[in-house]
Amino acid sequence: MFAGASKPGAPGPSPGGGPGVSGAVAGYRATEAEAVLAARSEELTDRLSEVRALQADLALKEAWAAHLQGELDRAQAEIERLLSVQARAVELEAELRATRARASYRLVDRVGRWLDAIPGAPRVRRWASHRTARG
Amino acid sequence: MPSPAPLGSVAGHRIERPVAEEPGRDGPTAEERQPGSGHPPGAGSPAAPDRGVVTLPAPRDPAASVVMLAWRSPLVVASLRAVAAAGAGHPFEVVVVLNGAAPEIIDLVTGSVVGARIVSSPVNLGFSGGCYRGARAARGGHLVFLNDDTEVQAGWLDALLDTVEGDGSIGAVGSRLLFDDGTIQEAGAVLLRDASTMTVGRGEPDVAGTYLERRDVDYCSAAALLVRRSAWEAVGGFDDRYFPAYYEDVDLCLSIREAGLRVVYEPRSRVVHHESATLDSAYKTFVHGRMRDRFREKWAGHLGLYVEGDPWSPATVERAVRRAAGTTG
Repeated sequence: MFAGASKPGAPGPSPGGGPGVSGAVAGYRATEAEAVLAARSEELTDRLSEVRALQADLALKEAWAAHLQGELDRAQAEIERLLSVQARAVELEAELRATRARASYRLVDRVGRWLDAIPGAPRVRRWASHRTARG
Repeated sequence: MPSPAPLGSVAGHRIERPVAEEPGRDGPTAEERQPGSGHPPGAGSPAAPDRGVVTLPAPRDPAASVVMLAWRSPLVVASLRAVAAAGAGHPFEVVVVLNGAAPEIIDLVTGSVVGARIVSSPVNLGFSGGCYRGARAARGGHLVFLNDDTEVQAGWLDALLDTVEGDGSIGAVGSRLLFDDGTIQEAGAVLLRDASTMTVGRGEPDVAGTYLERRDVDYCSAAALLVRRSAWEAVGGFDDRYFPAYYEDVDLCLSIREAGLRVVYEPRSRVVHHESATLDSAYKTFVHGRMRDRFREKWAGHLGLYVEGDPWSPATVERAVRRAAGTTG
């Protein structure tokens, strides 16, 4: 691609335009060397810009990964919070069911005792557990 | 995003003047080259089937160089076809930058486009870096950055060139961008103090009397933006810290204004911009925010000059438009 660039052993102009090398030839070689250097410089600049772009892309991807990790952590924390809320809701629902059952037992028991006091009134089955326990 | 995988014969090297396999005959269509990958055709669809080779002008001494980056969108050929069809009174060339492009896009461009100067990078240099590489290969006196998802309208380039050549104080000129449905996408844009940006006229009907005056603006989108080469060189082109994209156009236009030149919106230059969604919205939002932070950091000492207020308030935008146009203090 770069003519002359890969000829490390190629003779160049000797200082002061040494014997056998005319000024014109030395000048031509200098110009050619400058052109090679310019082309090489441009190519290296391109490679450098590509490396910089890759670095920038990596940095961006790292930042994006960190951003997603943060989102994930927040989502995880939210899931844990929701799970604890759900567990508490299950507990409360169980408590509610138990409370309702106790209230029902008490009500039936109380109505039964009222009916017991009324001669000739129908007997109500008393199946409230706490009453049963006391006989 | 950049594709570090080697891209074969073009990796890292400039390809000058690619020629279709058989110039003069119809080449493969986008669909033929990418079975199943085309966008569904439809009314106003940017993905109308590409037919034949796109032949672009290659003048000896171009007044302008249209620089287009190709990455993953097959719309690039349709965009180039529109450039060829629109033509211009001024001589112009087209530089296509294969910017870490997918192999099928490389095949598509090199097989379907004749006359363009094509340069290549094996990795995605980002919008800034890709444009820089394209600008370096360009020979025109003016650089015209054009997205690969656009459809230029007749007269678009002459309008930009006439504007910049008619007034030496102008450093950059932006086109009137339109949506597929014909409504306005951007009639110039303004910057606010918090570094948010607002496009002017977005969603409004493209009718006579609506933003039809040339005026100074804070910036114009680089989707279709002419930059005077001397201005480009004076400010060093797009800043590559805005990788991979966003805010590089705002930054460039501010730099040009800081250099004492004007940035204007030219309504006679009309370009449909399809705004292809190549990034998912969450990632896009993330990248946009990151670039905005960089922009804010870079221009911290300068943003105080801009209008403050709710960016979604029409009154705020109106004040910003008037400030940019120089009609208020």
